[in-house]
Amino acid sequence: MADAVVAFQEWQSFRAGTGWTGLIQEQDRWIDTTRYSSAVVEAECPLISNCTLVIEGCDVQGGAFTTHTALTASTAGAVQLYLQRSAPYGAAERLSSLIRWRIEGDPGDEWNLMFRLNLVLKS
Amino acid sequence: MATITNRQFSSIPQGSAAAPQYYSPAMRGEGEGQEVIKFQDWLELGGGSTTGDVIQPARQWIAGSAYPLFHLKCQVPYISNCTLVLESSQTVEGPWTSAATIGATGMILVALSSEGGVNKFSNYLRWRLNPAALDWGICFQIKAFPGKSVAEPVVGPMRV
Repeated sequence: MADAVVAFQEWQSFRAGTGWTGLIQEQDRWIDTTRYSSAVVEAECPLISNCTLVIEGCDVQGGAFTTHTALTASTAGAVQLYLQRSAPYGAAERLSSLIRWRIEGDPGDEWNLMFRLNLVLKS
Repeated sequence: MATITNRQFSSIPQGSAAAPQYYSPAMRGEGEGQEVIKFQDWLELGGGSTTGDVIQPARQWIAGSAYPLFHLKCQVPYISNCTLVLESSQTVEGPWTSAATIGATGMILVALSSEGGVNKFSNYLRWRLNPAALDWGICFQIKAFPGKSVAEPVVGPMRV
């Protein structure tokens, strides 16, 4: 049973014109998962066009972020991603201490995105 | 008939106890040690050709009488057939005076001063969208960085 279910990102839509390369979630909304051993990211993405929604994490402030999953138009819809802190895990499945979302937009085109993210956490 | 599309839906159930910690504000790079007001979180709006002006809800207006200076950081990745107006008023009833106008995409920094100059603001600050008589849309975010004040700042839900 989950210890916490967090609205990682409530329903949000973005639209950007040519030349806009993307956005990063506000830092004060990144999720600190250090108290938990596993997590499931539930992504709902009914609209995505000319951009990629990246769920990524890092363990150290200022450290490099590892991509956990990247949603594109071909992979949009409802997606679940399982992350855990203990081995065995793949590089993308290891639960990071900090999790955030980032949008990579196609600067050569207008892009659109509408999504919601839940995070189910377990100690 | 006016058609407004607000695709920033509101909350979903928070779920359970033992909510995890969010990233510590102390680790924030932007505005570290500086007060930041999320004047408007990311918002996408659009409408048809008969839409009238769209005004920020009153509960989100900034009552900034204690601040002589505001720096506004406006991120506008998309804007089409409308103008984003930052306007202020001495009283909640108005009249409202335009302090700055944004009509193009980009990262726009606006300095507002209560002491006059080009971008003068008085007590209350809000945004207003002024659409053209065409299909229009905008996606934007505004953060406000208050300047030094001599008195206790008065920011937050407005009391009418």
